[in-house]
Amino acid sequence: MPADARERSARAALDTVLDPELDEPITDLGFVRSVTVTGDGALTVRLRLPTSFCSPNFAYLMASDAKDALTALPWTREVVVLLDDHHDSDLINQGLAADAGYRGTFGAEAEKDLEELRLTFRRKAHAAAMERALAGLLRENPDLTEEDLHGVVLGDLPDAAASRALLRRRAALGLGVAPSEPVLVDEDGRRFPPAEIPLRLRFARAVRVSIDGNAHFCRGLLRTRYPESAADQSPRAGDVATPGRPVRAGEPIPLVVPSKENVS
Amino acid sequence: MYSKDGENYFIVDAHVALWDARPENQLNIHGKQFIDCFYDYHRNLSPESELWPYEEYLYYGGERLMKDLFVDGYVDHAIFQPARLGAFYRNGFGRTEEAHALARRHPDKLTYNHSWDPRYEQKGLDRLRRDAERFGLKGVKLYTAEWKGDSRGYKLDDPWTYRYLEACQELGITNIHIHKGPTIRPLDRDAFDVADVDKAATRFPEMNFVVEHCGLPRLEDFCWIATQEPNVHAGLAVAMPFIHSRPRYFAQIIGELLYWLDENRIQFSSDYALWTPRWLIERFVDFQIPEDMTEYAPITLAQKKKILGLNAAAMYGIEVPAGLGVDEPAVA
Repeated sequence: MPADARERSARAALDTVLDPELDEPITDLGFVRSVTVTGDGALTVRLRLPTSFCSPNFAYLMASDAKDALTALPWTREVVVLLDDHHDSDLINQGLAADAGYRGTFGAEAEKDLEELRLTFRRKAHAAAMERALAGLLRENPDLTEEDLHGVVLGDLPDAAASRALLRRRAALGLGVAPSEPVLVDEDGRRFPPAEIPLRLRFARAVRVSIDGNAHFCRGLLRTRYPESAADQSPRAGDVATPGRPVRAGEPIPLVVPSKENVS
Repeated sequence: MYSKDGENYFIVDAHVALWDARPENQLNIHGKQFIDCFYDYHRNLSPESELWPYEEYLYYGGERLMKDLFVDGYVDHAIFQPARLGAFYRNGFGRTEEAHALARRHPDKLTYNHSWDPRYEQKGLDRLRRDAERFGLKGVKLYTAEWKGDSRGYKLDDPWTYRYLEACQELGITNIHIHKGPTIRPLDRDAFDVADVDKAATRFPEMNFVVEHCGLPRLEDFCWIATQEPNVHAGLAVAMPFIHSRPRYFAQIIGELLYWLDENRIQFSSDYALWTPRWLIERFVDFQIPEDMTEYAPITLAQKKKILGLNAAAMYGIEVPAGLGVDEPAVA
């Protein structure tokens, strides 16, 4: 495989790695600083973050997910992922090189693995995606009341980016994606009592405002810190839709599930 | 005081600092990384006309602080919320002695809050009692994610923290400002997690808990606990400058806060010297929720006056001159 094809293949693999907090691929955020493939197939990827003090746990998650995604490619042999300019760069880079896992990397500082944290942010991403989809539905159907949302099922949503994004978030949480599934549900897929709907919708909106706001702030900070990163960033849409053919409710979905973490 | 269109606003800047991040005070690379991170916030969110050179940002001194806040900045009263960051800076990040001396010289203009760390256990508790007397403390600023040896932070509901809070209550230190924001570990947890504030606020209902940076970027978690705990307040440090760079996001933050909390529990601050108060106050007085954001009610004049100063003044017992409250009829 020619080197430029390998680089494209590596970047495509990195497209599947999400910042769990911002719910966006690290490629779109501009976090991938460089991808270097040598003639013998050795691959080096450098990552950069908006500040030295971005949470080390999220930094580790993204870097180790990147390494897993790249290692899974059929043509890669030696994969080196380096996180630049972080207060824990040395620690994280050594841990990645040794495939030490999160707890192996941080030693006594890490009490438990990161699955719980990951789950928290998958739930937030789901709440925000649900709110985006339902807010869109309310806008387009002025007669629909918030209480009516109790009866809305996935099949009622338009074939739009926001709907597809919601399906991906549901799948990542293990929630059903059949057209008959209710849309407005909690993190375990349970419907809310109708009387609670306005409050729950309001809360989901606060989640969405937080994630969107944070994503914009982080992008801006990255550009301030690394002016050249502006060229690498894709604008954040109302939501990030996977390009390509539309996915209808109930169809199998190309999942963007973070790779398994090494936990020693 | 700031005046515009016949309205007068009493201004309390509830979160200011006098820091020293000069190389000679940096203990290690993290000291540089920390101030560089602050400087990037400053560069990213300030209007171009308000940018400081890096050298001045490292250390600006008391004289400049007085000018930026009280001569140029319309501020009537400001509250120091110092950070120690002893793992990054030789003599600490906050200039304790200089800030305290300024506050003593200008008691009408400045209140000095101090900090404590429950991981010093009994020794720190004794120290707190001495500090309370020396500084005449009404409030403290806590960095729950601060590094100390191998520790990656503490929680407000830890047993030792409760002992410190009990001492605060006894000493009349009723205003607990908690930094929940971007700095450093706790590693496993989400560094912005505010669940511990919820527990402490329930346990100490007579104390005020001001969550700085209003929980951003976890606004929803903050709002959720603040809705249930009437003694939890929002500090607008770091949220304010979005009024320039991303006014629609700022509108959403204010809109959410006014919905979930109420107008009496939101406090203005510039987070000086991250930003200077003058432009923030001017913009906030001119600010309105965009018309197309129908999910939020327009912000009222009384709400602006409360946020800009009256709320913090009430919390700290700062006297508001006649005519500047919200119950006064507007000057014809």
